Amino acid sequence: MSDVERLFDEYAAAFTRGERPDVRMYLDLAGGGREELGLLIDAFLQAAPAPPPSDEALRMVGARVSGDAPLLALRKQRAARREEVVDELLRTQGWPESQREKVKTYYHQLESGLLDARRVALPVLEAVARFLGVHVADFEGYRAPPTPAGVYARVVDQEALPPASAPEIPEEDEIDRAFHSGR
Amino acid sequence: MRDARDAEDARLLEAGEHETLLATYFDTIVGRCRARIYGPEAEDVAQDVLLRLWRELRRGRRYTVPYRVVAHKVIDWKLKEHLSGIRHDASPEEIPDEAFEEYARTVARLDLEALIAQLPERQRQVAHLRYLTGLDREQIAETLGIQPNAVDQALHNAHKKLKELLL
Repeated sequence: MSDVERLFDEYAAAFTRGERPDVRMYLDLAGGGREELGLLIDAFLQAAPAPPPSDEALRMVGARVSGDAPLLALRKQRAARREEVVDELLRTQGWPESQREKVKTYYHQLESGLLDARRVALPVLEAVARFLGVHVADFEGYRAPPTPAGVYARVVDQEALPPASAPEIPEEDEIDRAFHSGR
Repeated sequence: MRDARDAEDARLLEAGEHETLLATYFDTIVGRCRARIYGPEAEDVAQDVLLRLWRELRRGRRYTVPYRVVAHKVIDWKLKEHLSGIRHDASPEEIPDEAFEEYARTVARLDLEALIAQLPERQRQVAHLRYLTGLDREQIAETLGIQPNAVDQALHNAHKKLKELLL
């Protein structure tokens, strides 16, 4: 069995068992056979019967269509405090306690959709997903709706603004990179 | 199997349980978008599909074809838009039912159960247990009273045939 066949077989069987296999992980493993595997999985998903919805999918859909932030909905559903998620991040990423406030601020931005999850390092997202008992895919696509202030900011006449002095850019540390550098 | 799913979808639609209906297709939507768009844009396209389907459901349109057909057609539209860079402005409610019906025939050809039924007997038995029942290699071997290697061989042959039929 070729690698593509084996990966397709594993994906299709897991999907049929009602698991929630992550397509991206399988495509990563396929290397040069990625495109072929993608086409096969896409065709399989068109043909395969949809399994009954999982609780996680139901919560995710509910949060997304209502405009709520999925991460916030998940954390509330687990009755977990934000501090507990921060504890988990400090523990799993090996970050020092002295950085708690910074991590908490970043997590708040992530949870509110103010920080694009696509720019956050995968190990961080995976730690959050594990803690909440979901998949990264469940909350990754969320963007906060634009605020009136945000809309207004795009139409401000830039020429009417006073010239901005060059901002002082603080040096990035490991935590900044984990939340900003993407993958 | 598919008839039962279609009937359940129709019931959810009738009962106004739109979130449950969308949740049924959530993993399929995300999976198909990720399979075709290798990159973070897949999440945006999946979110677009979800919101579009949600809007259609809220508008109360009743379709003459099974709901899965509508879901797959909207996924296809969004994938084509993204992959071709061309926007398709027509919204599902502007599309005549005949278009969905034609698409339904295409989707029917891709029915997994129907595809597996076309395989030779041993391949059909193995593929059915693997992709419709969800058994692993050893369980299939035990169920059919054959060696695990024979399961592998039958699956390999089934893959070749399914690939021809699917792609």
